[in-house]
Amino acid sequence: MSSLSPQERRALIGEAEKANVSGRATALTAISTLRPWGVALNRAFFFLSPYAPFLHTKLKKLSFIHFARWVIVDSLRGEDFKHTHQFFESNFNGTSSQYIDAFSYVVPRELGATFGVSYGWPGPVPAAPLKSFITRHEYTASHFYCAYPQATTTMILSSLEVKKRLADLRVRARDMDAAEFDEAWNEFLTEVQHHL
Amino acid sequence: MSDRNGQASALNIFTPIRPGEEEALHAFLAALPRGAGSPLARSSPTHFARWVIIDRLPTECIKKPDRLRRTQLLFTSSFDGDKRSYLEDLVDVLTEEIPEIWGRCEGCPAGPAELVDWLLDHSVKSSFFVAAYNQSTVYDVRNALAAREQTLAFALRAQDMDAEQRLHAFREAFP
Repeated sequence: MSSLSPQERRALIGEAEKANVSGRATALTAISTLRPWGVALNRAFFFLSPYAPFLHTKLKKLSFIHFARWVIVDSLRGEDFKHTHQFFESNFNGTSSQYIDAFSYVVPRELGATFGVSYGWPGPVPAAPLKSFITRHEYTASHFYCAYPQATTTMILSSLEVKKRLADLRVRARDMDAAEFDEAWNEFLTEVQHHL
Repeated sequence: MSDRNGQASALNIFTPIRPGEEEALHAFLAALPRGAGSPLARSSPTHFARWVIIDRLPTECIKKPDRLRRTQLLFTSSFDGDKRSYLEDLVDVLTEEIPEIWGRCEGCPAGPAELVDWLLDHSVKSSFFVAAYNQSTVYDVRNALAAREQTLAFALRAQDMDAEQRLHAFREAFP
């Protein structure tokens, strides 16, 4: 126990499970070290990713992610690194275990492309060694905040859609008679029912 | 390099903690109220944010792993707008907490303007930033969630109304 860092001790006693959660939102914070030959590869991958719609489409399949980021860290003020490190953060719904399972089986190639050049990378599947890898590279948040902790990503996307259609109906309803509104209301409900 | 996705921005700030202050800093952060009581709730453009104490770097499978000279305090945020305005607002709303948080880090300046510069100076750009609803501010999200709830409640209520009553009630509920 004494050779563990405070962060590792906190993870061991299960403190992370509470500290990394705010309502339905969970925080994941991990740092891995990149193999020297992989640094340029990851830089190229991240540089090209905005121009790769397939990647965004795939990531959107992971409909429980609010925000996520990858950060390549070459240096920090006052530190002298021999290696390049990669910081990964995600804000998502559900448990870490469910999150890693989904990542592992839905976007294994993309996961391999971003983490595959890290030391100790076990591969995207099966999920168990991947979970162990993430756990060993994870940090517990001392304080985690979410502005809408009871909302899932799906709820938010649905709500934005409902609000857009409601705004339209609101304007149109000003000039409608009861029969016209009845038809418009039924049409509106049909359109938004799967968002309610 | 991209800290921006639509109108959403990402911020990653690593600041070195003064030796001996690590546990006190963690204790302070861990004791902060959570949810709506969090001091970060005073920052209206903040969607998600966290403080994390980075006290080690990976060692497995690495012949000569890097060791941190100083334990780092990592602050990250997903927020609306640009970094400088965001930090100016954040420094303003966290006046009480800042001495207990970044005040425990090496070189933290006293003045708000200098603190914003110092924080920006310690930030590291994201390589890839994903945002599920990148055109929506915190205000938009909360507003939309409320609109959905209101719509659902109205739909249930309107089931037993005739057409005239429904139109009247709709105009009243959604003026």
